[in-house]
Amino acid sequence: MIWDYFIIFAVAAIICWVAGAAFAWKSKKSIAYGATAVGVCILFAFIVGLWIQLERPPMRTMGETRLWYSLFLPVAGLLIYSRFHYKWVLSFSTVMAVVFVCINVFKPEIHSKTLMPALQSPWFAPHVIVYMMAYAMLGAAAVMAVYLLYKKKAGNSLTELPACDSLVYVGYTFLTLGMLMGALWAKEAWGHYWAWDPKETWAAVTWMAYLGYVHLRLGAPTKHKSALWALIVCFVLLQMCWWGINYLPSAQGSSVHTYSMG
Amino acid sequence: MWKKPWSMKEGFAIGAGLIAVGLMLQFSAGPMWWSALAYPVNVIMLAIFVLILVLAYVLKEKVYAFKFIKSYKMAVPTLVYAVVLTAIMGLTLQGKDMPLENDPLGITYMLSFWPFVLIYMMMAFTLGLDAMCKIMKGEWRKWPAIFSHLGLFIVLVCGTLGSADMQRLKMYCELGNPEWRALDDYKNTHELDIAIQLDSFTIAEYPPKVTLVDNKELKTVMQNGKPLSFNYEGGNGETTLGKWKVKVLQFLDYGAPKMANDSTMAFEKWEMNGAASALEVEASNGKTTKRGWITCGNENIPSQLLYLDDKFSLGMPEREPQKYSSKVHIMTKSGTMATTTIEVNKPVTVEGWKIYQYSYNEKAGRWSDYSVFELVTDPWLPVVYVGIGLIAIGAIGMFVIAQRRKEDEK
Ligand code: HEM
Repeated sequence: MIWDYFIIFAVAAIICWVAGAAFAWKSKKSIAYGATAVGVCILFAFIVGLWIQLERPPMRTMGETRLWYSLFLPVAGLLIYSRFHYKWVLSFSTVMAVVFVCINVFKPEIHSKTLMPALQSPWFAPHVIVYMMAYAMLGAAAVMAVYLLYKKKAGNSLTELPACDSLVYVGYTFLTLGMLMGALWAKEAWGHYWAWDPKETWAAVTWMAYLGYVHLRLGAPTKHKSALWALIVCFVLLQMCWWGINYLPSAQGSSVHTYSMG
Repeated sequence: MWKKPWSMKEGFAIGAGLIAVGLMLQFSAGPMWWSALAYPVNVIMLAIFVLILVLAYVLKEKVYAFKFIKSYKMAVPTLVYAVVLTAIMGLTLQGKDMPLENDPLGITYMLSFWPFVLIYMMMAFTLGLDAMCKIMKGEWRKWPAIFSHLGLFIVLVCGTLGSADMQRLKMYCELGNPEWRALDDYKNTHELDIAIQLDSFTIAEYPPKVTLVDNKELKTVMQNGKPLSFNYEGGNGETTLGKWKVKVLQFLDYGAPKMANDSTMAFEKWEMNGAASALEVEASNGKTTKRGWITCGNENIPSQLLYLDDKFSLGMPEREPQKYSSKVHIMTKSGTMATTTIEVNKPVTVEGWKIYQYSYNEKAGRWSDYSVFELVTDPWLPVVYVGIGLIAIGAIGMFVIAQRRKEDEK
């Protein structure tokens, strides 16, 4: 089973990412890009292999979505790095991706080939991939917010806040497309595009929270501290939506989305 | 406070006022009664809402409140209140179509909780007013905001007003008998202009699984976070589960027990109603070899494990369905007649009804003698889809703005 080889792919990808992060500190940009990209390709190759072996998109369990998340974090890191050239960005994205890879090594939660009929839809893959892209962007924005809060305390000016905005805008695009695809899919699978199922409710909460951030920044561009805290709160809400509801009593048994536990 | 120009503080105060009014409504009039909005009431409400919006648009220079409503200083508090109320909804167990019994406040049916309704109305009002202002002014450079605001306005207003016109009915179709009556959630019968006759119902199943079972807990044994099991996909499917080498000797998709000389069942091929799938397996740990039949069983046939030692047995969990499908004849009063297959995720549309595979006789499993369809009409759906499309364009617009801002920086 290909899963038994995950550790090899994981170690290879991590070596590449760490190398990429190291070269970024030394301002060797093209090597940093190259190494990180190779790492992404290695992990992607594994995901493709898993997809083929499982004969279904590897997106059903938490473990499988974590795989995508650890793929997109370095991608998000690369995007930010290519725009803003912060030396620390690749280190951050690497550390976060490694954490998720390690969780998957120790707690794979990737069980079987089976995919319940409701999940067998052409919407499934784009819906999850787009959401994971959004989560990676918004996760990067949250990390940046923590960094900026620390920097602000030290009395520095915040020239990086527009970078947060850009990340949130791009994250918003993916978040929205993911949500709308989910709505169209739900119409085909369950008869209604929006049923206020707990996962949908939390998706709405998260979506509106990020809209709150966007409008706060547009309307009160000088309220830096509120904006940074808002970003962190938004990301906490996003965690609820992503995996928190699996532990909520209100969602047990009533959510069509809690199959990710299986 | 309340010295012009108002700030976000006043925005939060207005939002709190809305919630207070909502609470008073909740206690005096009870939860919001959405079902009363069925056609034509919802069309009239929509007309009134749009009329008020136009009025607000005309008066926005004269009435400061209207101008304030379509500013960020009101938008941010509205979004914050909406987030908080919706999060409460996500944290509490929600009733099906009314609040739960031990909830005097009404938050266990948030969709009819007046403060929730009023805050979302405020949001829709802001969206509509702002979209109108931007369009009338011709500010097309702000197209991402225009599309997003107009789209969300349409989805919020038409989605909620339209929900009262939506019908979801269940139709129970027995094999071979045409059926035209369907039940709503309150078990009222509706006679439809569509009849469905179930010709056959089939379940395709995933290959059977063999698992190592803990004798005490009767659960699959886990090792390193993975269950000790394997999917049987033909051949003799040799594998190791824990310390046991396991081999499949025979697989019967349709089998039934025949008499055996000890207390365990042996199986033979039996392709008739009530058959269960079974596997003959052999397991060896080097010292001993065990051989026997395992089955997930069904309504008539008990499940059976193969006892290996004090600790472990081999078992076959219930087979997971890969696909349910119903072959049907559909006939309508207007004379249409069609044969088609209805599957999960592949509904069929006939004369404004979408027909979904909903359920079947779960006890009988693949021998189910009936199929349940859900029939859904939602006359407002096309309008909502227009709104969804606009939001999608607006979302792509936000991506473009992110790029534009990048250029501005340079
Ligand atoms: C559907 C997602 C939404 C997106 C993508 C979005 C985006 C935007 C953008 C980009 C602007 C700035 C326009 C400009 O000046 O260039 C804006 C302004 C504004 N938005 Fe939104 N918005 C959304 C939802 C909302 C919601 C839910 C509200 C109300 C609660 C709202 C209220 C406002 C207001 C009041 C303005 C300021 C109008 C002005 O002063 O010109 N928006 N929005």
